[in-house]
Amino acid sequence: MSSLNEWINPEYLASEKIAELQNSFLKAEPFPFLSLREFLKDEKAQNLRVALLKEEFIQKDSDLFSFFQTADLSSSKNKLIKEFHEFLGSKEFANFISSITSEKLNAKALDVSASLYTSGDYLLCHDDLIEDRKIAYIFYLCENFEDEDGGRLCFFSEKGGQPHEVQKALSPKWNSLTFFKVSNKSFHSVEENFSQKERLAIGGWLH
Amino acid sequence: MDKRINSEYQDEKTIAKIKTSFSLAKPRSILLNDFLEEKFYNKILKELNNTEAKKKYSPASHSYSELEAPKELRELINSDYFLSLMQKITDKKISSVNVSCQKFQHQDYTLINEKNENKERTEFFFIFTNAEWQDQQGGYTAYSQGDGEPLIFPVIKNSLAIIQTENKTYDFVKYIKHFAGNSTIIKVKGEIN
Repeated sequence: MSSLNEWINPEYLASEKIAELQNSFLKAEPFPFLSLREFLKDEKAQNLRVALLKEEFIQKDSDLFSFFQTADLSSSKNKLIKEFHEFLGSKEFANFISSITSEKLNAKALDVSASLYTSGDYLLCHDDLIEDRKIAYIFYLCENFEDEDGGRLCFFSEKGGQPHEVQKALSPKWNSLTFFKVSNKSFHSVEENFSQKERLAIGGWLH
Repeated sequence: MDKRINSEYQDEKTIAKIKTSFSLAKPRSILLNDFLEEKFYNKILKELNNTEAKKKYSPASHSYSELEAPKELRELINSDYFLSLMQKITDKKISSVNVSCQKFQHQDYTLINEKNENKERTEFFFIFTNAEWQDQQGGYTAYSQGDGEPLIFPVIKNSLAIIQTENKTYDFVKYIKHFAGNSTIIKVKGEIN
């Protein structure tokens, strides 16, 4: 069984579905992105959440952000997290994302860590453009976030090379994967978490 | 005696102690609490709260409102006594002061911009607020040289911060979280030339 069949909701693996997803990704505004709901098989997502919450989260704080983050998950000792890391670094996963984004990706060249936004945590506007990052991804493992709870991933329109205003705001939804093309236009932020809920996610970049 | 300034800060012995603390700090800096006389502070705060402020928002740089500092506060800043006090503390000859005034509330911030040329500079700022602030609410002013812990000036009402930055020191105002409610911070800043 390929790693895609093992992990991903089979709905996303049909070839006609891939063409539809590619179209949605490339046409998205203000820059190419896509959100896939119920992305993993639910049992995998549930178990991953339980495993992640046992990892050590360190507080990160600067002018730009305030949240908690694990070390790169490649160093995790947990069996399931290791397997998930291997899956994200597999050729099959890189090919799956490449087929949607038309970006040539180097399997194994990836950054993966988990983040936890508690009440009041946030990440202000930036573009993620460092070195050879091609695709940024966020896989949500938090439940019951509504728009008024905050914690939304916000995409900014661009004017004169600078971010202008929020054009799209996506609430974090359980077991959904959002990814976008990294460029000098990919201005985004994570809105402050106004709620008492914990916004747990795995995220990073594909190169 | 200047009736607008706390008499404690008009005592030569106190000023000498402040000067020593300032020069020993790294970077050279000091935070003076209850700097203004209470009546004068409250008068200026009231005036600031009644002054119209204009929103300034550039997502990758800042979010705050800009307003004009009250005439009486600008007069104090440009008074012989205040300028000579700044001169004594910082050991810097002052030819002029550029005054600006910013209002911060929930969701406001400023970010470090490394593209800005940041040479050594001497500056001060007054804090006007109705509320008691905790660092976890945000709103504090930090000076960072990249690595290491930044120098943080907490939000304390009626305080005056004075700092002489070294080369490549960047300052920012920490994003204000929802824990702050409707509280505001008004920062009146002076850049010494």
